[in-house]
Amino acid sequence: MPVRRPGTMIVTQACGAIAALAALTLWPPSRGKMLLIPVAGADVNTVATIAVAGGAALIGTGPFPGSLVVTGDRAAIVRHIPAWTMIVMAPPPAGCGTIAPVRAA
Amino acid sequence: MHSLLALSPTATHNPLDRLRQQGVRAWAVLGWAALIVLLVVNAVLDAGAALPVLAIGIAANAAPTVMAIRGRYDAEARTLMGSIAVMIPAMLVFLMANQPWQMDGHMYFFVSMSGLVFLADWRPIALATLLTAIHHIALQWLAPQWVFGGSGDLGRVAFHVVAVGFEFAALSLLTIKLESLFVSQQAALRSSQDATETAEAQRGAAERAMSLARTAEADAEAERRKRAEVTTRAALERQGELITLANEFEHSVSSIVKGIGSATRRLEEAATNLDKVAAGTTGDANEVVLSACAAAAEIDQVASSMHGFSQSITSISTSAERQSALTEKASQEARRSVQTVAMLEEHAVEIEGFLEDIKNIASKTNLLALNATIEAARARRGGALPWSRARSNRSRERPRGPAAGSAI
Repeated sequence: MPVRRPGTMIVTQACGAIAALAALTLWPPSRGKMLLIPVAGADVNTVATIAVAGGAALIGTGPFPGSLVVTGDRAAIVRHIPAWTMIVMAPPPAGCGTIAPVRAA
Repeated sequence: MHSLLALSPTATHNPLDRLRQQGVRAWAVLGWAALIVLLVVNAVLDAGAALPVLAIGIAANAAPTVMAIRGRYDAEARTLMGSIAVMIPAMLVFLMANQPWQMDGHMYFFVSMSGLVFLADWRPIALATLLTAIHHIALQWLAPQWVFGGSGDLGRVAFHVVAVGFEFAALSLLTIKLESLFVSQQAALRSSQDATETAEAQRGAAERAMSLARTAEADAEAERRKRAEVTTRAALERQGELITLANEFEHSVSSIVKGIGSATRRLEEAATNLDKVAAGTTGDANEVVLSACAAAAEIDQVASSMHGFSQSITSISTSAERQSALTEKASQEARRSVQTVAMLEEHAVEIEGFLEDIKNIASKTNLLALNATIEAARARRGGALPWSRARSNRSRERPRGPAAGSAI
């Protein structure tokens, strides 16, 4: 059973797969709960304003500073987000876990 | 799909390579088919992840598809298939987020890992196991809330990793055994092929040897037949030659005998003529004629002896076994006959000389007789030559008679 160092192609494929799976884990759903993370100087109020403008309901604060967990339609929320001011992610838990209530902020 | 699953000519002789090439191509096709299914699932569940699923699916399938199209099925190509085996169930679990059956979707990790056994290599299984473990451990370390909500912890992740590790161990052992089995089978097949080739070569050699033996036997038979024909033809030719030689010899001897007989007859005729010529002479001439007759008798005797000789030669020609000896003897006799004939010819010439002498003597005798008559007439008239002189002249001619007889 000879063992050799994996080639560049295999390493690249493996790293890409890990990154892709991580990205999928954090990909927000089209509808339902999602996490809004402010960037580029936006604060929690800005986040809340945008979420409400997009028709989402606020559920609680997120794990990151200024982030909020909201529920609503992703497309409607994204339409009200200025460019490069906010990241929309799946709320925890989003990977292999079962549905669990999110703690209120 | 059919072209992708088709075998290249270089892989058709090794069952293990054939299996691996088919496995690589099957996984390449399966990756794209699974991507289509995942997009359908995304649409059915309204997951809203078509873009990332499509992008990640294309990226994940690109390298394995290139490998399959190039016909590669080496260790690198096989290992790349392990990434597809992780990406497909991972994206399925992702699309089933917030669904009651999401946890059940994890069983497809084990299904896809089991499907890697068809590559007969432990490397893609190891890559799939590592990707699964690293993915979960990394998320557990970086974002534990995103992996197992509520009850998520490192122990649960480790519990899953151990399960995947056990499957890796079982499947790897199976692939190693499978590879070993294929290798031993290939060796046995090669050995069998070598034995078959050796047997075929030996059979060909035996057939060639038998063919050569048959050819040699046919040649020997033809040679024997030809030799028998040559022997028969030579015997016939030899017999014919002997018969021809005997006939020719007999003909030549007969000719010689006939010639001798003819010469003898001529001699007899000459002797007869001589006898007739001498018949009218005096007593001395009669003696000469008698001597000539005796000579003719002797010649007849020689002729008869020659005729007997010819009969003996004829009897020789009838005996094939005694042909050569008799031929030699006959030739000797022929030479002697020739010598005898030559001697006879000499004697005949001498006889002719004698006959000439006899003729001369006879003429002289006649002349003397005439003279004697004249002398007698004269004597009766008063005579000049006495009768005793005439007698003495005749007596001088008498010794010729015995000389001629001895010569003949």
